Amino acid sequence: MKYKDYYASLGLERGASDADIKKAYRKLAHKYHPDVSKDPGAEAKFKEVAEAYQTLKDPEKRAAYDRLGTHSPGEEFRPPPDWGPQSAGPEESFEGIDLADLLAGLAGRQARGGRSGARMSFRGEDYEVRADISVEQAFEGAMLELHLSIPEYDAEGRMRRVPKTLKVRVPKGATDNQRLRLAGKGGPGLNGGPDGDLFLNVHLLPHRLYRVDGHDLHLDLPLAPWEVALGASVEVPTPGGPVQLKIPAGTSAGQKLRLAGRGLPNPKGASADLFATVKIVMPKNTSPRERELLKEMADSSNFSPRSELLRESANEN
Amino acid sequence: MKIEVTELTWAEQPSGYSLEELAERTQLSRADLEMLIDCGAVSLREPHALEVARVAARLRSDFEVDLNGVALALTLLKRIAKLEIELGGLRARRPGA
Repeated sequence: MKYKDYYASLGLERGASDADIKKAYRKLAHKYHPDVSKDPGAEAKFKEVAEAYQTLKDPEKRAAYDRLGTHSPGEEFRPPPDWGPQSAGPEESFEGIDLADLLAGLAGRQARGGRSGARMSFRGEDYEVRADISVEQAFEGAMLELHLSIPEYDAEGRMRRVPKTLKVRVPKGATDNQRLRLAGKGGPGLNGGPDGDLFLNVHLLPHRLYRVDGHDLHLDLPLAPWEVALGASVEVPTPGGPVQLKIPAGTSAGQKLRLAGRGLPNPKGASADLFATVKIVMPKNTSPRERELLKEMADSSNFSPRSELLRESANEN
Repeated sequence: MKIEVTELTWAEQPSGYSLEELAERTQLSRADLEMLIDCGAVSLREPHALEVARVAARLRSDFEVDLNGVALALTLLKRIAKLEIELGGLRARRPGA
């Protein structure tokens, strides 16, 4: 079993008072709570802090923990033999048991006075798992492999965590902040209670081309000045493959062109749309001939793009 | 190691959850849930009722917040989530973002 330094998790010395423990927990919980913090590492840090507090706030659990002595965090150690299940052999008695679960089990056993109470049934715990998927995976659906640590109970009611791998098929059309459910794949129910569910919280990874708004997609479409002036047919990437888009003559920068049904599939109806925002791009290097043509155009055109701007300005003065 | 292959379904439950289901799944008491429903912080009819009730349970146990504090925090968290969705949409629609 790996040792965890609960005092270090809360930033405390071993002799810290109950008030210090509560104060340190409150400070760190406010900083790392997953419903408050957006830091991707916050949830793991909060779990560490909460686990430490669950043990240190309880005088019995804290005393039991203190009796383990001092070890380095992560160091392998053996708890006292009387902490293990009586039916198991000496070599395997603590295999797969987490320190926090062991301490929780000890406290529960003492509270029950070593006798099992009424066999009430309890629903298994619901699990929450975060799934980061790409836009392409959201478009096509994806097969994900989830590695979980599932509690199992032995004959004495002692909990052990066992690794479990689930392969899940995310249906196409999942988008940011959506939740998916795997019924009955959470924690096991107790005394005949139903198993919990597993919830998958979907997060879309940033994409180099597409920006996601619900199921709609947005991309910037670079066009040459002559393509917007004269009109053109250009190839535009979409998650389903490239499509030809007709650019009307006289298109301006910032205009949005809608490609109906080319966004993400929507499980509640038709596929969403892809919006291409026009961005006019000048060539970095122009040839003498190109400059000659541009000069000729400038000399022969009466177009004044700032006429309205100047008129408005004159009216205000 | 045993690998199970399985299909996911959408978690939102359009018909909502019963009070008993929410209480069982979140470990909140029926009385606490009724109070949160009375002040509008949790609605049994909303598709995300379970998620909201679970946040309430976490805030209550992790911070030892009283129910009025939980209700206030839920209202503010919902408002923040709505604003974040609007901000995300505006950012997505902004060229060059």
